Amino acid sequence: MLTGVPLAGAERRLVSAPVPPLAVTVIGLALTAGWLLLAVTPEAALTVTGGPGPGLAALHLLTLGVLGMAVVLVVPQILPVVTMVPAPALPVLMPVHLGVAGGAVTLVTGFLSGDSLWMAAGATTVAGGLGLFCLLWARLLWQARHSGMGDLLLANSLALLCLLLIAALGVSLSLDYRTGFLSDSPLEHGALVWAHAILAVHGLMGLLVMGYSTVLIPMLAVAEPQGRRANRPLILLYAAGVLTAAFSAVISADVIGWLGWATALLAVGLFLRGMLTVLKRRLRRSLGPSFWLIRLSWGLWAAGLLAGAGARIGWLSPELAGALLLPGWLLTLLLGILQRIIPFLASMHSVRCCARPAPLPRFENRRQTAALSLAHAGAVLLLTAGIALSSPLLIRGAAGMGLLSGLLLLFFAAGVFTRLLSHRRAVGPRRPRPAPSSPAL
Amino acid sequence: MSSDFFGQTRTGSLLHGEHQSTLAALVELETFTSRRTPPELDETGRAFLLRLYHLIEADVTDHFTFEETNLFPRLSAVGASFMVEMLEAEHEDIRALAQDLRAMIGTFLDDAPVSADHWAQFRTTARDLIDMETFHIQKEEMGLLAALPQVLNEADDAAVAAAHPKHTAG
Repeated sequence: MLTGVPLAGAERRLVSAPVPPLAVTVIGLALTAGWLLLAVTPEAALTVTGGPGPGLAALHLLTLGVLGMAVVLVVPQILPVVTMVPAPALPVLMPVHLGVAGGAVTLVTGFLSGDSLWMAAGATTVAGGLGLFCLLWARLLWQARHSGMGDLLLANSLALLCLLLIAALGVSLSLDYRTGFLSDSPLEHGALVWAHAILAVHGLMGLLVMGYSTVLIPMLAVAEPQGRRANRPLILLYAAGVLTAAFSAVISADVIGWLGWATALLAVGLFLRGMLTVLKRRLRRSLGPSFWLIRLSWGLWAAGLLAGAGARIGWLSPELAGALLLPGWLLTLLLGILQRIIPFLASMHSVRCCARPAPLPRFENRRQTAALSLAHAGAVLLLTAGIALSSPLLIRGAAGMGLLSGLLLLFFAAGVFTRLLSHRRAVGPRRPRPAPSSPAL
Repeated sequence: MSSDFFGQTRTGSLLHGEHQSTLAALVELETFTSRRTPPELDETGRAFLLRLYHLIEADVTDHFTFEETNLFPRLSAVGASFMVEMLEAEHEDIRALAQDLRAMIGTFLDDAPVSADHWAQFRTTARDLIDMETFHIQKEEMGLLAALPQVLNEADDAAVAAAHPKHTAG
């Protein structure tokens, strides 16, 4: 039950109006650029784990440019709305967004050119942005501590811990490219790369997926949510599994790594079973294209974890597991959620900026979202097949479909923004309201 | 309701029950309008349309008016005017759509068979109403119902619940 949370000033729970369109534009551009890079150099998808080059550049356009930007947009916006605390102000958010976006561009330039100075500068800039983000994230969690949203707060807190570890490892790895300082330590560069990847994909993103799914999936599907602490054991189990796997990667302890993997897989299985139960109890029959992607992403999460085991024992390439997890699970889920959240945010912002709010359905466009969903699903399918068969032709086809999905995302977001501006022009800007009258009873 | 997600008040439980009924009717409406060609209105079809007519009327008059009279002023008084403005604007949009839909249902019931043009118009309006009402209910479940424990103490809750049409109708 919600207790002690102020209802006044709900408009302060929205981030400043320019933040969502700018962040979504960066996400769309990074997505388009990542696929474009792969279209130009399709063989790069087969050698991502081989160090700096177009493959690692495309990977970081996806992880930092798309997923990282999504995290620094979603957390400061959705967490305040759900837990009823004020959203961070624009002067605090802008350095975060500039650090992540600018650092990602610098880092990608470094990977493409092979210049370790650019890599170190990019990683340090991203780490600076993320460091500031960690502070505002921690502050939001502290302010929301009485909101009663147990699962959401737990998952966010653990994800924040993972982000701190990822940033520290990322900076160390980039500095090692420049100075080679790890060769004088007992730690191996390759082992730290694996720990970095496990914490980024499964730790940070996995925990965020778990936490926000407990709120967003029932909301979007119009379904009865689970209890606010129903997933607590699963979130803890999952985090324990991921941290164990990351630690085992650092110390190269194989048995401990398998234990962590099995623990995380069990937690994911049980969590997805819960999500399917929520969906079964939904009251809206037709869920639209967004849930094509959301359901697909759940299958790809499990498939990616299993493929990760296959890669561990050498049956499958790490690139295949990576394709199932990154463009597969995470990007599929993100695009499914974004096509519902972008109109939702536009509708919420219309209350703040227009004389009369615009209802959410006015911002939806089922044809565009269906095309976006199909293009992305096609890209994932072709990419997986292309990597499994080591076929640059299929990978190029995947990149073409992915490029289309990126452009469609930009087009869809621009359409929503344009409709918001048209609505504001039609009804006029918001004016102050008279003081409220007393309750009738 | 098994979950504690939206908070618990008697008033909230009454509204939640009405939301469930409305959503169930919207699902039926979605199924009913899934055909592109006009249906032949048999006994079942006419009975459904008549039930829908009354349910829409109850939703936009009793349910909306109850919220606007008993809850929105309380929310505004504690500073939640942002939420109230949003919900009031949606009520207004839904009322207009509901009025159109009810007029069309009335025509269907009086002048069967349904023409292709009227059916196409009905489907479009029904789709708009389903989208609008579903989103509105989502928002009320997560915003309004979650906020009720903060604006209604136990005595207020009992008094407001007693003013609900469900209790005053008989």
